[in-house]
Amino acid sequence: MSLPDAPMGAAAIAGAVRSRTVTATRVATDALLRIEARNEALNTYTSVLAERALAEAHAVDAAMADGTNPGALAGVPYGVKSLFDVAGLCTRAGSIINGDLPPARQDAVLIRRMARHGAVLLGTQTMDEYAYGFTTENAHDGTTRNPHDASRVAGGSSGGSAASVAAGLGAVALASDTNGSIRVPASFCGVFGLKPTYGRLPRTGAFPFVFDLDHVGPLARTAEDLALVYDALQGADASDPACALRAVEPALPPLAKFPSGLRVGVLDGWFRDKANDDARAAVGQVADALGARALASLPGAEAARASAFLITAAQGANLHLANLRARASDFDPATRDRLLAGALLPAAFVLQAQRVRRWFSEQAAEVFRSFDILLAPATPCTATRIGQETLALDGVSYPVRPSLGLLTQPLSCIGLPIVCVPVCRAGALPIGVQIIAPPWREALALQVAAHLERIGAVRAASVA
Amino acid sequence: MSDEDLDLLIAGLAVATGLPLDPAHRAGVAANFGRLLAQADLVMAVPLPPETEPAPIFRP
Repeated sequence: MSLPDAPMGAAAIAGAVRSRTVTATRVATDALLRIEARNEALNTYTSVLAERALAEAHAVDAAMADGTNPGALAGVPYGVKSLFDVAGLCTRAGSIINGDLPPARQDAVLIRRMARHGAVLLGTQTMDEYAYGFTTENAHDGTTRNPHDASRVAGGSSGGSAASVAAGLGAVALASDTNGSIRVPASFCGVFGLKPTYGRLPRTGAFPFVFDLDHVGPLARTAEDLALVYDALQGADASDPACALRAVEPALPPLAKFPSGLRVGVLDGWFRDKANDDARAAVGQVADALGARALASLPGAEAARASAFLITAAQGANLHLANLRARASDFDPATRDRLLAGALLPAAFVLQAQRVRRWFSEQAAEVFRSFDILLAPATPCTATRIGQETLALDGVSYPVRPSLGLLTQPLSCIGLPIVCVPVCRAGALPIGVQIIAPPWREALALQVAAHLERIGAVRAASVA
Repeated sequence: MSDEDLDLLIAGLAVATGLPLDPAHRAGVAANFGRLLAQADLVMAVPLPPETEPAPIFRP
């Protein structure tokens, strides 16, 4: 059988491989050809691992030939943000400095879990240096282009991952989100992204950025694919001190059900003020589809965003302090100046930021007494132009690079689980809406995302 | 804070931190440090009761 022109999703591929409609090798070969054809223009992959991909695909086909179940992700081709350890590769995390580190001795835990379920790793993907950015304009690796408009950024810091999924250069991707780095590029590229609850998925073998805020999670073209991958990734890991000792709570089995009587609130205040008309319209579209009329007020979002900003600068700087002292000029200039400034922050500010974080978490818990799900735009606007310096919100000019996370940062600051769903309107660039759930309720957020997709309110943006 | 005061503050903190600052990087650092101070104003303005603990909890 020949594969259709439109790349298949993860569930479809795994189903086709397990029903012997197609071989994993064929799927991998097809994905590698797509990458070869489009990667130069889009700059989504920094390393393509064709040999490994074909070996993993052959192993899946061999399992099928033996009558062994190759797993729920049989033959699903995927890429990973270049901060995940891949055995034999240097984990560059978008830097040149990490090029001096020895190659990783083993795969990151999440990559091992993907492999255990039969997925096929295609390569590592472009990102902002050390994940400190929202645009994937990387001084060393170049800029990842938005598949919907090559003059625009893909968002960041997981820009290569989101753009690869949008363009079909892999069915899904693994990425990280410290301040919005899954949700911002998902929004700009028109794909689904899941930032799980802080501590849900182990970060073992993922190069750190901000220990208190780092999350890892998947990107996909459907809510079902997101849930499928998320379930394969779940499970505690003692090597990550922040990873919660929780049992696996599968999201896929209940995905088709939509809970009745769901109380959905639209976040106002900060989450409305820091959004342009496109972002507000997208939230309105999702709210209408859910019959959500109530506005929800979450006090303190601006202070929470400030907390995330300060904790990020201080912890990121501490992580890189030795290299900032010894070889500052080897950093990407944009990253370098942020980290140098962060290294100078007085303790009083950072400690207060940590206490504000606790306080804001209590504010959110109070809001969730009245609501089951909250909605907010993922980004203040659609994808910005490459090199764009400022963006206007209600007539006020903001610097682009730090401001793309205005709406994501307050929420990751307190670790809430969020699915970013893509809203597409004719003639317009896609934009994401955050489906925000209480802690540990990823499955509920995914149910809402799947429901919205079933009724046609959201869908991954198609790439010409 | 004037630009001059900000530069003096950054220079002093850099000495205290043992962080040599290349003169070519100073303008970018000042711009970013100024941005951080503005964010610090926002968190310092939040009135917190004494029992509000920092968010990360160490569990030995």
